[in-house]
Amino acid sequence: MSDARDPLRARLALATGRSAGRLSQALGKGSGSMIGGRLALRVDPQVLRAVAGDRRSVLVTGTNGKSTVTALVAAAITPGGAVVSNTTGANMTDGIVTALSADRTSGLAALEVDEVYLEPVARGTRPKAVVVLNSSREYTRGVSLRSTLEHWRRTAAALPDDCVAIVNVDDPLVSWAFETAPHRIGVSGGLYWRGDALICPACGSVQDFTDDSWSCPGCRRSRPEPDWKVVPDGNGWAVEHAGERTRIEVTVPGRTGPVGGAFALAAADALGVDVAEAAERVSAVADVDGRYAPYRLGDHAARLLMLKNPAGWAEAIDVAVSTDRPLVVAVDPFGPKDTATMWEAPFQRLAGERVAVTGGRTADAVAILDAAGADVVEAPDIESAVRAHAPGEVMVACNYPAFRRISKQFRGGTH
Amino acid sequence: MSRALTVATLFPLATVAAADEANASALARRGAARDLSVETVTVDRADSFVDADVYLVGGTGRGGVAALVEALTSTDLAARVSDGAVLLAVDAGLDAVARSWVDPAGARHQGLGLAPVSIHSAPEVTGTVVTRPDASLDLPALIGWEANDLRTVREDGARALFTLEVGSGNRTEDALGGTTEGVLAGSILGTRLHGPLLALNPELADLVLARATQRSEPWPALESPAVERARRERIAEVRRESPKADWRSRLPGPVAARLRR
Ligand SMILES: [Zn+2]
Repeated sequence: MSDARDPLRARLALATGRSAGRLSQALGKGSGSMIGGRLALRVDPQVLRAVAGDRRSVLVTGTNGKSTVTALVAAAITPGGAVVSNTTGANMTDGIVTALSADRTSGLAALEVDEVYLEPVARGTRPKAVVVLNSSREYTRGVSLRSTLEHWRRTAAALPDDCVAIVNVDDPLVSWAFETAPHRIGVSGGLYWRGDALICPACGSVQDFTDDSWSCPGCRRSRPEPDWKVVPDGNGWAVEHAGERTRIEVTVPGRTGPVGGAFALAAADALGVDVAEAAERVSAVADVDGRYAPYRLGDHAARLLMLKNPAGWAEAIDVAVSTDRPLVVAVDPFGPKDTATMWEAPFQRLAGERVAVTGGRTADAVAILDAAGADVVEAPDIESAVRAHAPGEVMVACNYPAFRRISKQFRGGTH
Repeated sequence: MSRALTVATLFPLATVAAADEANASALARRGAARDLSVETVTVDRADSFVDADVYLVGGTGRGGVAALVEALTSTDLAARVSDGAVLLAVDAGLDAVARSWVDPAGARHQGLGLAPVSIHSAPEVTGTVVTRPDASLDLPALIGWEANDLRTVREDGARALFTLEVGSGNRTEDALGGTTEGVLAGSILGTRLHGPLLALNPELADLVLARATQRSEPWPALESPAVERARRERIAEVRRESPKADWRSRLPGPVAARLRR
């Protein structure tokens, strides 16, 4: 809704954007959130500042895991008041405008931000905290890692004085990009894919890696000591900070869940929310946008993962291997290099294991898994792919279009 | 009687990596099927350079070429290649080993001079590439990707590595009127086709292995049905979407040129 405090032009922009959103809904083109926000920005670029108002925002960016961590942050900060979030995953400036203009009253915001849009979104929202997860290449984007990092470095230097950058210090690229931030807090967020980070972004030397740390022999930069880290705790996980240990239960499989939880607790702490209370809220999050909730298929339960680069695939393979769950690979076409990144993923960790394959790019996935020595089974559809495994929980690793298709199918059907 | 080969991937991170790991492991896989035991090594710094039978230099993007040239200059690569080691130089790697290359600002720089080509600026092209079969190299139609704003001029009469059915390639005028791609000179294979090229095209991996073992007779037939099917589907898709690709352009280069005349 418009607000009398908004400048007239911003109010006009919002009105236009809203009716376009309704129109696109009426025409049946999705939720209408993208179209509404995009039109609004075309009318007035200041509109983000107007709809953000003086609420206290946390931005979440990075190549992998943004949606999950945004949902955990939104949960973690709820003890501080009502929270608005762009839960549809529309994470560019226009999607964020749409989310904020749909809820003008919540005093807090947890916003997922596309890594290339961080600068305009930070300028418009003047955040209290920016969470930065990782930086890894995506073949399909056509934006070089280098230019993203330089954009981040500029953005970090221009963050408001009262903003805290909460960064994954295990990723040397993220660490470098945010060393210009006015305040920086380190989280040990892990690095599943070193491939992009072996060369120091500051001086071009080859970095020295150990199991859990890195240092540069050229410019002597090294991994800052993390303020927050995840440690095993009995049969689960806890987050360690300032000598305190806080147990968290997250349904997201593998280490992704507790690591996301650590970022969320750090964000809550930055906003003055009690960490123990935040941890309870994080532990209550059962699902993120239908992303991890298992879908029931008779005696099977399917958990969907959406993957877009070698870092994502490496993480999915790690989850499957470390939690001993069988894997389905579902890939659909979306361009010439749609499966290229998969050739680099460590599928040889699944050598000898049965992997079921389905989707429009089945031939590519079969070739890749066959080369890795997996026992590949082709399936005509997702149900039979899941049922190619013994009853129980199955991980379904999807590329973006397959994820869209299958989660829609499951939501409309058995879920 | 199994022969041992060493495959070294050189400085994969000086440029934007484009599946170099996939190329090295493709050579290992194909080598194993050819009774060659292939060891793969990654060289990240000049002092860990190794004597290898095959060197892979790859990556895309011109941002890292200067660093790559500097790193390669302080190794024994030139000596190894003149002794007959095979060098597969892809995209930014081809710039680095060319006689000269251009940076994004248009300034000309010296390369290592191992490949008889010079690199010049050109409009940007991106897309999927299909090569024509080449009986002289025992290659069927291959699939690859190009994305660059460069023209690759062959010198000293060096031959191209491929002729193309679909794609822009070197963007030089060719005597036969066909589209050429890359360069093949001695034991050096240079190309713009980046990504998991050898993984997608095992026959090209065979060519590299044959050169590395000084094998002159053709390899016995060896099918890899999964990869061949993936390639067949991909090529069919490109042909459907490419208006240029008619039946004539699928013929071997010299035949197509004769028909055109
Ligand atoms: Zn350095």
